[in-house]
Amino acid sequence: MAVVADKTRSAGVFARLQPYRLWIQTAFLAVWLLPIGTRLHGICAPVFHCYGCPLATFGCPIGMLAHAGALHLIPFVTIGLLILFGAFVGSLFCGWACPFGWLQDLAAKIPTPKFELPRWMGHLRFVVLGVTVLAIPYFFGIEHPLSICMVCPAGGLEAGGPSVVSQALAGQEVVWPNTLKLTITGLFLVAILFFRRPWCRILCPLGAILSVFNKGSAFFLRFDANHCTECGRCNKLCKYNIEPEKSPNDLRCIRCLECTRCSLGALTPATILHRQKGSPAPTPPADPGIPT
Amino acid sequence: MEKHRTGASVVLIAIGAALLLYGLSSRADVAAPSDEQSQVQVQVPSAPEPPASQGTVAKDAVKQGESNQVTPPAKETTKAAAACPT
Repeated sequence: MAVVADKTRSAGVFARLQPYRLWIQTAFLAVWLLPIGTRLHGICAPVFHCYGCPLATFGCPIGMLAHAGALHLIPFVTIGLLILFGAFVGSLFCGWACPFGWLQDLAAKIPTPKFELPRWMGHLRFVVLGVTVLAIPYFFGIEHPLSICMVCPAGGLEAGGPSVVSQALAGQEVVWPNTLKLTITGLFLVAILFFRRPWCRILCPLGAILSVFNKGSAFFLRFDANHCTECGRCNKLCKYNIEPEKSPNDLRCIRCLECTRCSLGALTPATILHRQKGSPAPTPPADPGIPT
Repeated sequence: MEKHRTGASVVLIAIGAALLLYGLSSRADVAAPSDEQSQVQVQVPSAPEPPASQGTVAKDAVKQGESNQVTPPAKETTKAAAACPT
């Protein structure tokens, strides 16, 4: 009985927070941007945010990996932080804190037709990580036109945009980002209108790193088959076509925890501190309150 | 299954913490060089971990060496913008 109460309490916290996820993402901007008044570019945050942004508080972990590769160095602090963040919560930061994800979630609110992405495209993130973040900077240097910092749309928006605007306002000659970066940034801005989180799902190298830890992180999604009636609600709640009842800790999951709104309690957020024990299946509520 | 997850996460946390501590300790070594070392330009490849840009590393290292304590760079805003490849 205590186990049931514990699970209910744990799920209840996230169920209460879930409708405010976008606000929580917005609140995290105060951490990633200058308002906290600190500049810690030597330390990375587990989110995709260009350090070239005039307001960036932390360094970009992907930029740090690429620059370290270009210098043929091992970035122990960056790797250690990424492993720590991943080992604790997996890709939870992607869904709840990343400013680039926040931008895409905001754009998804615009009522344009949304198209599904093929599942296999999720593997492209690992190609981006291996080629543009690790291989090209290591072998050809950070100035290579295909290294991540030269093509990153976050850099184009967060660093290039303010730079161009400030130069224009100051009456100086405007130095535009390179053509490839401008093109990718433009394509990104169009894509976020028609796909949900296209960058996170197809190309984000940081998401690729953090998602690997979904399989072994201390925080995870627990699927309880005893509580599942195979109604398919979780599939409809998941906007990323993951089928959470089959693979609750999938590599493509950004841990938005939408699927935990299943009122039957089949999918619940859990930690390694909460061991799973047998619990009686609850009777389905008369009004689950979930769109079907 | 969850036993494996517990073991895996504990091992990962230990590895991450070890790497982080090693990296931070190496940084501290670079941030506080001896007086003799602070007289010369610190070469970037000798740093155990680069911050975002090569130029920033060298300037920061010299500044920290001179004052023997970590101080924020004077014009970081312009430095960050300048370091951006855009």
